[in-house]
Amino acid sequence: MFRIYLELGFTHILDLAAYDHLIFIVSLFAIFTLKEWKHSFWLVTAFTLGHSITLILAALDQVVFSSAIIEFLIPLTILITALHNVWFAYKSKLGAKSKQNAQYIMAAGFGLIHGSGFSNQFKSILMPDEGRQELIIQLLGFNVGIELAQIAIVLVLITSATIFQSIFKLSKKSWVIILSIIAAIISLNLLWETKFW
Amino acid sequence: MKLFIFGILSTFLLSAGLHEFHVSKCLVKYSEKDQSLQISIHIFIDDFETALKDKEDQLFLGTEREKSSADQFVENYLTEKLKIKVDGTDQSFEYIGKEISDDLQALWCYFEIENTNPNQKIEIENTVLMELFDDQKNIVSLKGPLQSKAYFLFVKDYFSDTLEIE
Repeated sequence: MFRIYLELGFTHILDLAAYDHLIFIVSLFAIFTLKEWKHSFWLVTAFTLGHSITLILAALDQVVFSSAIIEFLIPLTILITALHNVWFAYKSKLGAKSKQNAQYIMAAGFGLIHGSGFSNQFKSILMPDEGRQELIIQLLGFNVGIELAQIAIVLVLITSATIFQSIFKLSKKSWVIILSIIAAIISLNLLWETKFW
Repeated sequence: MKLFIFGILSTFLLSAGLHEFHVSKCLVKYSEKDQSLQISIHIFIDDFETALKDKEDQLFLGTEREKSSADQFVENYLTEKLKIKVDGTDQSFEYIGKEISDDLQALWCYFEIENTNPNQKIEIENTVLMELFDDQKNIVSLKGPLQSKAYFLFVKDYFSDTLEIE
């Protein structure tokens, strides 16, 4: 059962069905190259912690999230992260401590929002009529699957960043700005589609 | 400028696929007391409508406007897509009914196989919605006698399996 939910979590991210989460990850990790792999790992962990908390709370019916609001907030997290990148890139302050700290806050904080987004779909695949142990196995499997998929994506992203910057001599600033602007445009379209008022 | 246009175009292409979630879940449980296999299957309504639309116009499943022929279509479709064998023998099931899920996104459909006493194995085949979506995943939980149980994740290339009882 663990393996099934692991696969479900993993493919959920990689299947592009949840591409808004992917775009968020691209925004958050655009500033990294292979050199900063350790940083990246900790940041992914912060994000995972954030989304695990809300996913678990929602799955256990401890909290109910308004789906409409969450669907709107997710692209908002993308927009904020992307614009944050553009601003710091423009000011040539991508390496600043304040940027780093902000990244962790965004990862954990926005993680909470993304977790709520996962929770509705997770609940629809949760097997009812099972014991507490089985519930934990499903949750754990799904979460670990998501985490693994995210790590894979981050690796591909920072490797691409390294290739473009070291081999094709694209400046870090340009890389960050290009990715962030694309992410921002996508998020604006999503915001338009999900506005709930 | 080119970047801008690419961005705009890509978002229009992508937004259609957002949060398309092609997963169904099916529970098959053996009741010792009733000597029957109870089957419940959870299918997203919009996907279900698309599957049934081939044979009939929109059925408005799960709503007040649901057409009276809906149950028949649901039953016909599911008896074609779900196959169960007990100890090697094909089983026919009785359609009990359906109801909308708590979040209103899906239908729970209920079936029963009566007068059955599985001894060696229960085989299940579940190809629900696979003719529509290549990425359809069907989760199956199978609980037989003597505490035997198995969980399967069926996909396009793997859509049947067996639970060995002891």
